Amino acid sequence: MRFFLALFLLFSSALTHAADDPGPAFRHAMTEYMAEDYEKAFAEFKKIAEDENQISATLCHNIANSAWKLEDKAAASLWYRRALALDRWLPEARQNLRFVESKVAYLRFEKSGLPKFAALFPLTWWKAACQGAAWTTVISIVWLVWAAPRRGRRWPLVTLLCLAVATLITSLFGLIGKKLDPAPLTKLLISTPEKETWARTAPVEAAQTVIELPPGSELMPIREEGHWTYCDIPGGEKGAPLRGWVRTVTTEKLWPWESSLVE
Amino acid sequence: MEAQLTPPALSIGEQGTLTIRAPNGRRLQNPPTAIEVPGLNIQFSGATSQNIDINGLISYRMELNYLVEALEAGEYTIPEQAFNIDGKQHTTKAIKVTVAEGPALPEALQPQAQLTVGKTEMWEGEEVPVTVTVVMHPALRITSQPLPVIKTEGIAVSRFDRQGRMYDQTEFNGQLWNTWQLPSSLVAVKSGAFPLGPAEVKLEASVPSTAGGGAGRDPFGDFNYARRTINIKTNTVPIRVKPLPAEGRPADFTGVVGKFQIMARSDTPSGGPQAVQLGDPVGFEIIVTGMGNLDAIPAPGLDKPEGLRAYKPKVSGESRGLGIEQGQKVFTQILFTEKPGPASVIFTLPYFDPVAGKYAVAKSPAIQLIVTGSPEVAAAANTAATAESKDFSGTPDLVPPGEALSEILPQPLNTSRWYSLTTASVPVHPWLLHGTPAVILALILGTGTIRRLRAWALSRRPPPYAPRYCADIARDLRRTPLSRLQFYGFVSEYTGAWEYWKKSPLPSGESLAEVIAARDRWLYAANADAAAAPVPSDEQTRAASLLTSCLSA
Repeated sequence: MRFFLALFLLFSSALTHAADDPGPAFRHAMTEYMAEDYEKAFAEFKKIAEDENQISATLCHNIANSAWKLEDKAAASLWYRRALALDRWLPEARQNLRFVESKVAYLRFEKSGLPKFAALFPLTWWKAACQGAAWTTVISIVWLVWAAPRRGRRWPLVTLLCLAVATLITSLFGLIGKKLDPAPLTKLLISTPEKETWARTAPVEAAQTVIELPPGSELMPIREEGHWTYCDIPGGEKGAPLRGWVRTVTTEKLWPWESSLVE
Repeated sequence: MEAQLTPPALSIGEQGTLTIRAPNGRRLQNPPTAIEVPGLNIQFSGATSQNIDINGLISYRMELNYLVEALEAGEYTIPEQAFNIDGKQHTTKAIKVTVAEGPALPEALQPQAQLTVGKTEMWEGEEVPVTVTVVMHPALRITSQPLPVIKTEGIAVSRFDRQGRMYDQTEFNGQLWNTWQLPSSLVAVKSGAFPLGPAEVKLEASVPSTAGGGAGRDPFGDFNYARRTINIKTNTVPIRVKPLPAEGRPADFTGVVGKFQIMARSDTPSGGPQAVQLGDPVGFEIIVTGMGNLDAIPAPGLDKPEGLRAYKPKVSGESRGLGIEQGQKVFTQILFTEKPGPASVIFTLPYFDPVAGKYAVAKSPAIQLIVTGSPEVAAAANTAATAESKDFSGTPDLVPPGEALSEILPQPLNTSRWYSLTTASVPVHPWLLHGTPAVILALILGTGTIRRLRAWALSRRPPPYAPRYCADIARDLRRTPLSRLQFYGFVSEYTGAWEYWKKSPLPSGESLAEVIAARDRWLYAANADAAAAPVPSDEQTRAASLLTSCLSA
């Protein structure tokens, strides 16, 4: 069993790339936040991410809180999402994002079925689980059939084989779900307009409007033309597809950094 | 039908029985339960039915009984009464009754009553405790609770039966008298100096009867009792009622006298300012606690009503005694917000403090509202029907169904795992990632293969009981020198081995049969000396060649 544990650890070792605590800069930004100087706090928290290139779920959460206090609802919803991309179970960020949604009513892609299930864990986790389970299954079968283990080892091996097969099937569903995901985190755009903005029928300002995009709405880019991006837009009636042209400058990538951090 | 009153004349408080007999009556339908005669109290007490056998002739008799109590002196007539017996209507005759005053209650048994007031100098509208004490001789048996009535102009007295009575015993001249203390409260509604009382107390009691002379005792020496109504009056108490001062009177003073506090809470309490959509009604529960004339307390008003419009308040609860102890009155008030922005809700109640002798205003702690929304939407929603359709009866502590967040969690978080955005992820090389399990798999495969090869080799090994291979025996057949016994021993081993390994019987043939016959002869039939002699070489060569050619190894 020690051997199989080592096998799983081997696959899990591919998932991490941690950084040091930014320390003084973060504490200083916290002090500004506690002093209710949200403008400074917002700038200093963002500086940690943009200049020091360090990020954490709590940093994103604090940036979002500061943005909300500054009444920048789009930035707040964007950074709460980033916090949840890093730690999808962070309760404060989940609650605050729900609150922002209740106030702003932004559009978002509703996931259902396999994509919803797959969203429970990042892609790297599903991959690692699938590979580990596949190897464990093959090795267990070969061991049982070809190498004929000693009597005391047969049932533990059979149990391990069952678990590995179950994990393999589950992780395969997870991978399929990721593949079918209509709005993967690393591709999503978030509408961050200063004023209200609209999706249009053509990449010109004079074109007819398709739908109003509340700040923080999710968009899935299809292609870019000049200053415009042709997007999939959530909110189609009964899940019907909805597309339109959005000015690229009014959007921001949900996750512009290393995708392996959140996938 | 016969009707008879026993006794035919009564004294005040005395009771008699009205008996109505119906000969041959068997079934009575719906008799009157009471007969209304002013000055008399006549109540149905039951019916009896008897079978009478006279010389074999059976007859029936029914009697209806009514209890008659004389309340006031005078001449009365109990009117004709109709009864439905055995389906037929029967009517009694009217009966005249004389009720005499009766003998006065002996002085020694006369109950006493006293009126006391908490304070004789009071303010208009002030609640003041008042007590009537009734002292009764132990020989009197009270049948109903004493009920005092105070009739004084300008004074409103609460009912004496709203509070529990205190019963006690007091010793007078070495004898224990029964004492009732009956508390209540009064409010003066007119200023000036005037006497309070007297209070009239009506008692229903059983008193020892003196009818028939003597002490009215029965043959066993006990008193005969007669029920009497006794009216007694208390003393009067001079009081002085001061008018409320005009100086310092708040504009919205409504005459509340006492000392009060106010607490208020909204139907959706929050830790900080409460977010309210313009046009949405907000429910408040206002709790007024204190001591004074709670009956007179109206719903508290708003301190600063700008931007707020009050809907009609409702009294949702009241817990009070006589007003001379702590009480509570709860109101439900619905407010409409009429303009966006912050609003502070403070409820006020002006009152006159009789102890301090001046006016005061009770204020609730401020409840902050943040009103958002547009006036156009509010105008559509700001109707009385909206408020009526909302249910504010639930206690504010209950969590409303569904999630209704009103603010973000503002606390910053400071513990987390940090990730570098510049350091590219270091993927484990596929050869390393998959190489390790592949090596393990190869090891297991190799182990299995080696095991299987060993098993295969083992399975090819002849069993211990198997004869030698024919080729090995053939070499021995050509070995020299060999005795006949040895040579034919090898021949026998060879044929046996051939049969074993080829798994078939020996083929038939003359030359082979000769060799087999020679074997049998030399091994089993010849003498030992001849068998021990060396086998001739031509014989050995021929037999060996024959065997190996016929039975190839």
